[in-house]
Amino acid sequence: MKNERYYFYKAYGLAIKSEIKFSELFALDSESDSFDIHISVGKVPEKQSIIGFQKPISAYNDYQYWQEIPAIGRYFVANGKEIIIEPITKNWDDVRLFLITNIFYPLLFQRNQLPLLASGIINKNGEAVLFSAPFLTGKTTLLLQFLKKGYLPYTDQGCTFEIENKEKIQLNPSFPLIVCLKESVFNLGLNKTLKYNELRANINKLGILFSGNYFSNSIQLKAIVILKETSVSSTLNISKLNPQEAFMALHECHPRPEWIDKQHKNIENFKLLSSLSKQISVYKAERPYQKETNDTFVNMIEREIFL
Amino acid sequence: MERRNIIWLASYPKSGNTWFRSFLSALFNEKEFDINDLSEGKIFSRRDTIDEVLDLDSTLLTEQELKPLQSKVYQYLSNQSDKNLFYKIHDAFVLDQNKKAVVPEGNTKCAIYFVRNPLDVVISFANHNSETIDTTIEHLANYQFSLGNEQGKQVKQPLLTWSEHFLSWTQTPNFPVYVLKYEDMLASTFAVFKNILEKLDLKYSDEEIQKAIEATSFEKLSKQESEKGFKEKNPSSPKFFNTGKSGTWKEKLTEAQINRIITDHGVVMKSLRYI
Repeated sequence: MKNERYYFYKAYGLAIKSEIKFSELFALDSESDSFDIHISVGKVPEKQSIIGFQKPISAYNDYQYWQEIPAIGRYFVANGKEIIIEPITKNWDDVRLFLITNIFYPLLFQRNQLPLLASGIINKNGEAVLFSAPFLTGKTTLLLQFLKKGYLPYTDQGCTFEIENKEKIQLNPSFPLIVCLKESVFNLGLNKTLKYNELRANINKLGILFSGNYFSNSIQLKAIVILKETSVSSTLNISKLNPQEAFMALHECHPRPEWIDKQHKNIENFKLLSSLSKQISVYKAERPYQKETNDTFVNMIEREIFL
Repeated sequence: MERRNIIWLASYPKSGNTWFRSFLSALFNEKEFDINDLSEGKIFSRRDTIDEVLDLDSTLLTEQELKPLQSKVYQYLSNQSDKNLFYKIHDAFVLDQNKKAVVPEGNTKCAIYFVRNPLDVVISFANHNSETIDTTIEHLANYQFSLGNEQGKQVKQPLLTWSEHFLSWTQTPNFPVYVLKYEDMLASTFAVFKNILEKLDLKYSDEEIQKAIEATSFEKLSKQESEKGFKEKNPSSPKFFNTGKSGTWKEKLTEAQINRIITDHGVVMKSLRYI
């Protein structure tokens, strides 16, 4: 039965039923009673009621996660199925932004679907190539450079993987929004060709919505490129990692690596990284510390990995 | 109950802070000293530390939203540890929008403030930023000058002017601040380092102190940088460790530059007997 109050989306491969409308998520055509996540607006529990880790503006255990973004809102995630939003501001753009960029991660951990931080593009054979690294290592800037070369975006804020029968790996992109530095967009001249909007007042970041055509179909994963910065070498370097090296490198690419231990996800993490490192080509693309990603680096990755 | 275990290693840039952090790392650790693995004095402005404690992506916060949270991060880290925690900080001692110190005073044991003659600072800082000395002199006189930015690996660090930086740290905090002059560190390294360790109630033998001083001599730090690079170097600069000497201003600065710096900072320079 059609219910006018709810909106239906897909993110990280999960079906979402939401009380609030998201322009940033991939909208599902049909409404269904079958969904994985329920997003509602209401009062969240008290922070002190969470038995587990108590941090300055968050608290969590294996099944519950509480977060406050001061002056924006409070969020509560339970059992990998439910998100409650208690807004503080009336600016719903901010409330949604912090939900999709921060609150999906604990939800995925609760579901044992450990996300990797990654941006990604579709190569000319219709396969996904992911760029993975910790925060602030240049994944999105690299994505923008490939967009400038004509490639299509696949994901920006990360992805999850489903491993079927220890063989087939199903890739789940996050949502069709690129969160990027304003200067990166303008330096690359993409402001002339892409539609963008300012994410928040007084923040130097833009949001670029893209078509999520690839969100409804499963596509092959060609490779994972792990971005590294080095203080030792002044040259660019790309090398294919053996499974053991790939396992170690991928370990650093979770959004909150410390949650692996604290939320008891070591077994799930081992299974995920073992499968990825054995079945997927994983490369290390290294550049000098704090140097801007340049055309040479982009061309090297394209030449050595994409084809 | 708050723990008072944070020891701030505070300074305007290029004033001996990294040298002392290196010395502490060599003193506290038995393994061979490595400039790219400084165990002591992680910088207050590190975004990854802030994000890890807050469990969020802080690049989406405005500076006004972030500053009060930065204080909470270090309160939390302090209360989680039963050891002394050394943190490097280039921020001036400033207040957030709620008129509270960004540095958590209630968790602070003390600060060591490193100060260097601004006539030498401008030369070293100009090299660090690959900028001209005249531009750097402007930075030292600009109360709005800052390091880092809203989106980088280090959050924004307000420095105020060189004089205000010194005064902010030596006049306002409600905790002890020990001032170390770079020139004294160079001239009497062993005596100065031993004295400050005693003030911090850290007990090390003369041999241990001497060994750490030798492992982190300017020549050895500079050699390691040449061989392995230094991840704290500004990417636009050829070297982090410049000359390490004091008094190079006598050869490198023009009379007009010297007069400008003395005009801008004469009062504080006089109090430190630099003029």
